[in-house]
Amino acid sequence: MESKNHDYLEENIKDLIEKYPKLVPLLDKFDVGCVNCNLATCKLKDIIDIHNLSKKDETILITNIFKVIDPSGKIKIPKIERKKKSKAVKTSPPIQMLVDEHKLIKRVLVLIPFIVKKISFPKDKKLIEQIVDFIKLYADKFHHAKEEDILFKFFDQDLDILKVMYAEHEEGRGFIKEILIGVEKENKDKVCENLNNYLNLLKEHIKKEDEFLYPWLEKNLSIMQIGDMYGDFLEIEKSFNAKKYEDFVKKLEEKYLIKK
Amino acid sequence: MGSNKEKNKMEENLACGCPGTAMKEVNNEKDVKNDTKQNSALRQWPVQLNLLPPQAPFFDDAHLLVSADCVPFANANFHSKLLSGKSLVIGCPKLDDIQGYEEKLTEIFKNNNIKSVTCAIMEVPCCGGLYAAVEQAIEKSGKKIPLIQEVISVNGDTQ
Repeated sequence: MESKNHDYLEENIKDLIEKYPKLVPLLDKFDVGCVNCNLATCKLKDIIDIHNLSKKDETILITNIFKVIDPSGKIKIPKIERKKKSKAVKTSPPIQMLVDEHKLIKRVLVLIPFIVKKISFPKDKKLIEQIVDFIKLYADKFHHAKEEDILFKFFDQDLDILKVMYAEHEEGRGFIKEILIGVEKENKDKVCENLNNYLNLLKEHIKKEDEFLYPWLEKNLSIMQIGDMYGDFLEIEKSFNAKKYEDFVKKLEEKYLIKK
Repeated sequence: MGSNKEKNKMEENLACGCPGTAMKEVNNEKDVKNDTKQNSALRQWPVQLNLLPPQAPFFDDAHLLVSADCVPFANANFHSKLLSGKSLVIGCPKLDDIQGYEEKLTEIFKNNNIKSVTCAIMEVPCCGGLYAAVEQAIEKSGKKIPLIQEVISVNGDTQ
């Protein structure tokens, strides 16, 4: 344990978890998933804000964290400065757009276990290429582009939480490359393995964005920034045929979900 | 004020005890000395919603502030914190025709590219009518416009 003047709030959560493994069940209890996070380099003071805990849960969590760090109770539990909550009464239109796009992507993720069960080459080569097309153009170029080129650009690019998101986007792109190699070589195992990797990655990634990242980013944008962002998103919508991909997902669902 | 008859009639109408009209002293500094010149953020004229046409040029591609009449008097930082960068309309939901406001705001939202709306109201209950009118107008315009509410206390604080 450091001296009682040490500022634990400024410590990186991953380092704290390594020093005090008993913190793990405490964080899990509040669904604070730092243990499984790729980076986990957020500071202790930021994880409370990012995970949008209520004041009551925050008090309980911080008190219990400091009981682990200092069982003697000599360290004064610090007060965390919370940013003012957004006064927007519901999710703003641009963020809602991103959440709605997640819904379409999740509908494809749901189908992946059914697809990998029945996949065979060369019969399904074209289908897999179409799925990759959906991922590359809808999920990546259309959706992630809004995040990376517009939303994330409002913030400090060194923010750990953004670095995690960028890293996961890249990881997803890596799985897609492997799927394409598998398709080219008609290697069913390679295709299935990387489809499953992509599914597992995106499932958690979307959950993080919907439940923590988007609300936190939105809270830290002014209404004018939100308005300008919405205008930029609408411009992207004009030049992208989103309906084509909605229709594709419907056809996939008919093929794999409806019993004939 | 007018005749005693008119004065009595007004008192009758206001006898409900509405917080919006309840008189009180506000405990702010008696003398507010500020030698720094404040710049105005106002970018248009007129500002009263009743006087503005829905096709006014300063509505297009604008961030809009819809402010209750009393807000600039209560909030010392109105220009810098609320108005800066925005076009403005003002009105009073208690004393003016709120239905007319809703209709005009609907036309403004329909006919212009309004990027965002900030609705600044006082903490008193009657001011909520202005926010409700803005919400309804956005709904009726058929457009999705980012909307935020700023509530100002009689002491001038943003809640």
